[in-house]
Amino acid sequence: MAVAKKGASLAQRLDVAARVLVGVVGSYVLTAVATGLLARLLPLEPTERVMTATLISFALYATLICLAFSVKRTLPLAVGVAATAAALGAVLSASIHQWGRL
Amino acid sequence: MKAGLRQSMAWLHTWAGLVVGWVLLAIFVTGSAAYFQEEITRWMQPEIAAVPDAETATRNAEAYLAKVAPNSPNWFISVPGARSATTQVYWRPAPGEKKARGETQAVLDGQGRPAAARDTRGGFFLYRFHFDLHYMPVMWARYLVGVCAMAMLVAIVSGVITHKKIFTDFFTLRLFKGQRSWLDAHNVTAVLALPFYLMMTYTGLVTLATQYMPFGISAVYADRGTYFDAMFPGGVKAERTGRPVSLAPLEPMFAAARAHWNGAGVGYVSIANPGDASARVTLTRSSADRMASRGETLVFNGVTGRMSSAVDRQGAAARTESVMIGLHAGRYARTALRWLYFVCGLGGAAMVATGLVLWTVKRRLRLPDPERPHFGFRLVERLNIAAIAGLPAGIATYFLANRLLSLDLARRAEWEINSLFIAWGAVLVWAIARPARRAWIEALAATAGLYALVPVVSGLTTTRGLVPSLLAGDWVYAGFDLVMIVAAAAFAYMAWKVARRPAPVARPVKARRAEAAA
Repeated sequence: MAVAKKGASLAQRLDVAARVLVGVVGSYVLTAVATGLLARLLPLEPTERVMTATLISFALYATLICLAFSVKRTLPLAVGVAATAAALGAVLSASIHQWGRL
Repeated sequence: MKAGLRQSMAWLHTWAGLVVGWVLLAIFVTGSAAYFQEEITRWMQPEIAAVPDAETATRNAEAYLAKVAPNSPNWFISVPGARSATTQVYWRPAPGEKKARGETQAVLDGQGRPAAARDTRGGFFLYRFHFDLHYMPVMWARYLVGVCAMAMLVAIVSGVITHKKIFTDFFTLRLFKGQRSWLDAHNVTAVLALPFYLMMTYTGLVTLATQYMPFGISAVYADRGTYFDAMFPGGVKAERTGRPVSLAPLEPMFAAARAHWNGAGVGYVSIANPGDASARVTLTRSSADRMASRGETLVFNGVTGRMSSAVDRQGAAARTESVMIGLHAGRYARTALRWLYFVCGLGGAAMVATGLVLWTVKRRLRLPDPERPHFGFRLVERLNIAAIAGLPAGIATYFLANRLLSLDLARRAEWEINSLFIAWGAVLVWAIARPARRAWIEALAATAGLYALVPVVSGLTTTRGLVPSLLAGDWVYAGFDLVMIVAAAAFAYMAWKVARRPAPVARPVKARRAEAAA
């Protein structure tokens, strides 16, 4: 298993910190936006849509975290997470703007 | 990140597991104990002997409420189940009446009198600590516990990916072989109840899902209250008429509810506008009788006693959530299943503990200078001792404090809880002050001693010691004392194992290998 041999280099440390930031916080933001979108778009009654999306969210978040830590390089990962979250977020806010909330 | 998927998942498993391991251990241990919270409470209130009949107790509780809170707009009665000995009641103060929270609730015995028992929070404290922790605001604690649960979920998923031979590994338990044995022990405890841990972690997150992931609600509802009203259409609101009419007897309502629920009992009674012509009685199905946790409710007219509505139109997602929480809380479990929950929960604690120890065992021999380990290593080593021996020592002290603290001590219940943390803190200080190996032996032995003391002290300070309880066939008391003895034996065995093991030789791995080969 991964053991830091003799003190990781500064670059490695920064990479781990960046990875944790993207993997934990970035994945949470992406999960949050996806959950919001699912809660609006699922073809169910409102309370059911919300509950279904909320119940699924933890599986989604766990999957995203594992994916984030399995990708080779951090920068493309960060760009990918940010772009996906931004795209879904745009759809979500457009949907709220257009149709409003209950 | 790392070269391959399994390597990166191994890294994720190690670190996700380590940073939250100590809190997870506490969550597992107190959560396991919470499956017996009613029994623990009964043991901690030795003054209350008889377990009342639920309906008689409810009728007496109603009489008590009519006496102390005749003008209250709402009474709530938590009906004693088969496992508890007391009825809990609380009420809303009458309009214009200012009351502190403690003044509008009571714990009653079967006769409807305030229970004459020592001041204790009993097993309920261990249950609440499981997700609310202590000495910190509840909301923060729940976020912290949520982060730990999420890390646990990630550790489970990455752990399964790491061990692709996990099921083969399960059949190769090599005992007493140092690091390999710790790894095997970790694998065995993990695989044995893996579905259980996965279920518990996920359903645990679900119990507080709308706090951890509130964005589903806020994307659809402008106001969260609208969602909760639509989801849980509880509380019947009826205007008080001001015309006093006595409340219809509850027994026929209980009987009607039982018939409606195929024999399941009532867990909770809520009475709106008691003593008024507009009175409504809402009965909630006991969670001991079904897996779903959000009890079905039946509303009765409080004057005629007739059932006025029986709506139960929960959707699939709402039912799923309800059953997930029910699975987690295990309130439906009968004795055998309850023990299985308890044992699996302790298996989870063992999985976390062996994982934490494995982290240090793996690294000890590769330390640049094993005589002077670096700060991170020492920190993990000491926290491991404080967590693995310290919390159990604290819980034993909590039980001892229940028997030993003076009955008239002010804020007695709080001091029982403080005792737990004082003992836990003492083990932490001890773990820091002593050489690690000695600290392990001494802390584990002290914990064993504390557990062994519990039945002794209980036998000396009450009339309900192990022998009288066994003779009387009182399995709550006898069982509690026997579990204490088993815990004492388990910790004594661990202390003995550590003491017998030769001290790790402070030499680089290569030298040892060369020696072995020669």
